[in-house]
Amino acid sequence: MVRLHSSEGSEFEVERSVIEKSLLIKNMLDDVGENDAAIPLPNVSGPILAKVIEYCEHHRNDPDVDGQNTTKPGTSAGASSPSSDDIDEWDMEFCRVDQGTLYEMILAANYLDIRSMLDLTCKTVANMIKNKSPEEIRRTFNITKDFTPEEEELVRRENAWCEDR
Amino acid sequence: MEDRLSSAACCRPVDRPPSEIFIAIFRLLPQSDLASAIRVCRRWHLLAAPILWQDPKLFQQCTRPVPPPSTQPASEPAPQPSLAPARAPLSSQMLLDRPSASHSDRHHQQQQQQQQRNSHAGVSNSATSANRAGEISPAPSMPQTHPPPPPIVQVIQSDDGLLETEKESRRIFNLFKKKSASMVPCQDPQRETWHLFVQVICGTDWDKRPSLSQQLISRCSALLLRSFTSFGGHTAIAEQHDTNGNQQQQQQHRPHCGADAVSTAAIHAPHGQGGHPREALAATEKRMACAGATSFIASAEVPSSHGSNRQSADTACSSIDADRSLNSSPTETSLESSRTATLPTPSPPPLPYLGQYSMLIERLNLSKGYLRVTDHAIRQLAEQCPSLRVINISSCLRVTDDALIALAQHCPLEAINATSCQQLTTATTLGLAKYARRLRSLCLAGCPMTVTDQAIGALVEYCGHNLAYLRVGGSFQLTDTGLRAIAKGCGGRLRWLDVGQCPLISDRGVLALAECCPQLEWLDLTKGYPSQHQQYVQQYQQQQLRIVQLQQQWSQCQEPPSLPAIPEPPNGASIPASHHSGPASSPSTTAATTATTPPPQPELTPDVQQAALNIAQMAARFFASRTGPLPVVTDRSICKLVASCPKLRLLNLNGRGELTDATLDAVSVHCMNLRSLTISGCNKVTTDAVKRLGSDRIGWVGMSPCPNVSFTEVCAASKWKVISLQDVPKFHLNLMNGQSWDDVGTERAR
Repeated sequence: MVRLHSSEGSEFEVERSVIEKSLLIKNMLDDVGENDAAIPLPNVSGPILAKVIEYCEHHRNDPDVDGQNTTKPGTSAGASSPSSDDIDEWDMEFCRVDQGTLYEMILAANYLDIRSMLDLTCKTVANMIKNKSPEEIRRTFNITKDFTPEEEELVRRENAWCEDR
Repeated sequence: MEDRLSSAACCRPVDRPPSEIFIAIFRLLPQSDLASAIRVCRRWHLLAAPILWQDPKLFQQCTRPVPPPSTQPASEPAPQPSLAPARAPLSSQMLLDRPSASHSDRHHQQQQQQQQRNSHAGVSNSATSANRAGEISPAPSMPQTHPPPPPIVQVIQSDDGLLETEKESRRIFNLFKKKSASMVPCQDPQRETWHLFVQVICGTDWDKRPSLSQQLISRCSALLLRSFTSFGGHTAIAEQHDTNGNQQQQQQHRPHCGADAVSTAAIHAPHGQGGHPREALAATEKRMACAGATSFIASAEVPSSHGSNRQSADTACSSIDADRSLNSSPTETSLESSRTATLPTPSPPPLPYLGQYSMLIERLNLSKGYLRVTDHAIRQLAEQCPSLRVINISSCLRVTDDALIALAQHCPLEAINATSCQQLTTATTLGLAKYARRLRSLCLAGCPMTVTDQAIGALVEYCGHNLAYLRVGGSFQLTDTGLRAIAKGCGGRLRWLDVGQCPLISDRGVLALAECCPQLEWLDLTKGYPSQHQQYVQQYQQQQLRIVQLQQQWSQCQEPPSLPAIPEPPNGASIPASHHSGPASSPSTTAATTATTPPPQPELTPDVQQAALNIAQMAARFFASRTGPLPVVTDRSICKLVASCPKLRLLNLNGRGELTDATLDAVSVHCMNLRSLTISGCNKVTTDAVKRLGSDRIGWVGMSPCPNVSFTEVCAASKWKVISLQDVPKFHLNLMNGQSWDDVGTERAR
């Protein structure tokens, strides 16, 4: 078992094989070897860490993905473009949280280096962006438009060719 | 550990997710949604637009085979989707350069094609475009290919027009090639800039990957053109200086003519952003770093020089000036404000377009930025260069913890060279520990405030799994505990280590190295003395001197008419002197400069002065509180070390007076790869031991002074010969296959 300390100090115990989904922790454990000391995770709060562990538990038996889900520009992988549609039901439910939590989860997945979870959460956000107008996106994410009218016009024109008409 | 990190965390603004997360999300979006995303806000635009443009599918669209040059298809208004992007952001403001004329005015041209198809490069056209310069060209509402083009968009574009664009792109590309081929290194900074600018956009090997370059160029040529005219335009002006004063005049005045200002600003904006990356790509051209930094600060600092006396500036300066008037915001302290500062409020220019290319920038050399690279500049990088992997900010005296941490937070940094950034403190080290987990190479030499045992411990604990090159020379607070932490944390990955001039290192630390780091290739164990805090002050004074020189050059380039005499050909007189000689100016140049103009009083900013004083005081306090003799490194540990590190190529034992012949014998037995050995100041070493080293393997033995070694005897018995002091650095660089701390961890990391 591995003990983890969240940012506010609460302790979580989790099987090593489970939490090794996190490359960060895996590397740490590999480096430290057998050691009872708790691992401090100053960037991850308790509720989020619980989510992370829940994710890892559920996906404990998944084969290790290569992690190369994202298409790199320039490679000819254009044909198999990354898609955000293939989310299974459990994952979908798992990500049904408020935006703040989702955002924290992304940061945690990024910090802990859990590739598949990062992909999942990013896909969720991507789905929230999809099929929306800029204004709708701004409303969804509560973003202030910081373009000046001139800039906005320029950007609009610049990309007129690929606009959805 | 937790305490340390969270303390570093709580004082940083962690308000925004790293760019890489956004990029990951945007990569998941289809084209149409990306197009919406870029219109959401500035940051999204910066991050998403390059992804949109990089979409390989779009590339395929643009590079689809060009129809054979059918003779007269012009009457047929077939929808021609594919090249739309190339012309999308219309370069309405190309005024002086020929390619721009024909390109930006393609609409116009198409109507005129019949008449002047073959003369599109003529001056007459430049004039045309100059006339139209202020006007915003019609929105290029071109369809995309996937969905069949909707009928609305039957913009009249004949195959001829398409062909024209293709041809134009190719022509520009060839122009690039020709320009850069005829470039005389360092003779013409503008041309250099040109060349390097292309490298920024297309990568260093752009000329060997024509497909990539052409894709990019045909895709973005309008933008590209617009951007590079701000470089190339000046070149063109310089070349046509005599014959075409008129155009130059126009160029000079444009920033002030109302509505035009905005579009001109767009021209120049990328310059400020793109000025620096070029340096990085020409890693060897150190002296150019100055030029890059110059335009950089110009864009980042300089508060209030809004448009004044711009006309007087000569051509080469005008780009810099434009940058200034652009970014007139004072340097701010928080990330938030820097974001808005990117685009200052009074008559905001359009988004800086290289900001989009900046997505592609991976390496950046801002070394010798001295006073000119500021926190604000570094923050802008953090904002705009989400791919930045390698950064050299050595001798950028004003960079502080916050900026560097922001950089680490937003960029996947792999190599940082922050040599002599004296304002950095342990907060930087802790911040890097927290964010820069891909760090492979780190130079903190000459930043003694950054390194304590705890900080370095945290760093290697969190980043040790990648760290292979570490330079913390001159860190007087580093003790054996820290060195052991380094050895344990980095283990077998550690290849280069500089812990020179750390007075508190002793056998224990070296033994830990011997035990844990068998892959060491480069080891600096120069002895350090507590009195070295005086040296810091000296170093600081030297820096002052260099800054004075720089400021002279800088002022020369601002007031060219008042120059006494620049040792340059008349043609070069229009180019700022600092572009030529850079900070590491040759002795002769320096002498000439100082002879002609009396050096003004150094005007160091208070923060920089304070940093140097802090270091000196800190060192004084630190050693005043210590009692007892300093620890020493003896034969025992060195012998163990050389025995367990067979790959050592460089070993610097400068000043280790306790070492005896036993060390040298161990070196001669074990170090089969050693190329460079420095034993200066090892008073107990004798001639015989040096002779036993064997000159065949070891290319360099530094031994001045070694009182018990006779140079003549050594030279008589071996192939070594005495070389003069000036030749040493070059010789050494050759010996080490051109590798130095400046680029270590960057090339090989690839």
